[in-house]
Amino acid sequence: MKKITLKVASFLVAIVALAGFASSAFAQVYIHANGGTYWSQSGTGWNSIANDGYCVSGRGPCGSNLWYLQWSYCHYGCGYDNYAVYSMASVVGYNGDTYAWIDSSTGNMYGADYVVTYNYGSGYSATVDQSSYSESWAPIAMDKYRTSNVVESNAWGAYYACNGVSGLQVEYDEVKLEI
Amino acid sequence: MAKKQIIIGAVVLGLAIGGVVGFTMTKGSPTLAQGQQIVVPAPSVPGPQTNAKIEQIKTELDSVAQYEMAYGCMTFDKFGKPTFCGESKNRVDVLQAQLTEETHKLELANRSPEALATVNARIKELSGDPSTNVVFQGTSANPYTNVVKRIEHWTDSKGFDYMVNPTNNTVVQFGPGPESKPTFERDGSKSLSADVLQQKAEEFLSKNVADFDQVKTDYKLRITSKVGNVSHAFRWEAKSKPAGEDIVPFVQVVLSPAGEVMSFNDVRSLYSN
Repeated sequence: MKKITLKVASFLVAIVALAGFASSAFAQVYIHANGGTYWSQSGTGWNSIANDGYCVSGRGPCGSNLWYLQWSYCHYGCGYDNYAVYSMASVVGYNGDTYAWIDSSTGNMYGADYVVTYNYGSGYSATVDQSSYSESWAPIAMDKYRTSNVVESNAWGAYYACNGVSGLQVEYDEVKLEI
Repeated sequence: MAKKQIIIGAVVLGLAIGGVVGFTMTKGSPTLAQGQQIVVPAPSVPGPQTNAKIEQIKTELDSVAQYEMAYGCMTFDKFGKPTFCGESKNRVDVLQAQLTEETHKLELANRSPEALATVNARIKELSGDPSTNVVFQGTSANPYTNVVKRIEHWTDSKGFDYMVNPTNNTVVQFGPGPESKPTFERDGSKSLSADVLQQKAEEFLSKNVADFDQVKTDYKLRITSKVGNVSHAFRWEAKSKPAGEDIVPFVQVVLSPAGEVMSFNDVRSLYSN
């Protein structure tokens, strides 16, 4: 057993030496579109607005089939009615930041619920104030290694868990991963 | 115990091989995810920095996380996704914290004390709290432009997120972060009049954007309100979009119904070389 461990350790040293000097990779950007290949949705209560959101005519290099956003009323109290999964197109071995595009009309939910999976099985619960952002990228999570997916729901986020407020609109649009 | 060590060794070996191959590919040719409906710009600009220590922690983190996934404590979150729990979670969290700490050290290594002091002072000024605790949260490619410019993230004591352009130490965006619980007025029926709100927006921008008079001259103003008047955005946009970009340069402030500043943007410096 000791021999096996030593051999592995020696190999690791060589690997580390290869990648050892301070250096930088290329920046990487992945945009995951509502309705795109890396998107799925479940549940009820979905609404949509045509030609709105990040991907619209004249903005964003997206096909016209993606020129819309979706929204849902927030869930009153505990639980949720629907959720969307943004599966990262590439799980990258660097710390990465995720953002949600928030539009100027809908997205007035101040406690939007996002759960980011990273490190294979670590979960990060973010509460995004969509009402504070307008046609801009709201931060969801910073410095998460190997971010693999983002789940957004119409539940109240962790900071307002089980909040007894209804009638606010939760926006589901593009999610971006920046490395 | 011996069996556990063998498994960890095998996982480490596999990851080490995969890690080097992946690293080399990443440096030489950015990973492109091909998909009919996903957009993957591949800017040839410097990305995340790394060094031997960071790579060592990443290798260990990969092996520990994969081992714990297979043999450790796992539970399911509210969406049914497997998630670490108990000691497994602790082990992975410790390594993630080490990785983040080392990455932050490297990311700040070339920042002068004067530059950091400037950023610190600027964030305190914008937060309106001279005693707020300003904390570095790492760097990434910026989300607004397709060329050049990495940005830094900083937070204050209220959990607000500040996006900083390190080339000129300016704040290009701030607003509530994912760990904040801001106490803005939420009742749209109590909203100030449109004229008063615009006056407040221009006062804030005049104070915080050095050339705001020029912005007003050169850019066009667009005012939007969210459903229920829970917030109002005053956005000055350039009249044209730079070649190769998706978003028109803009300066913006979002106000609550009571005129509180909810978020701010001046992303123009991200477009220049």
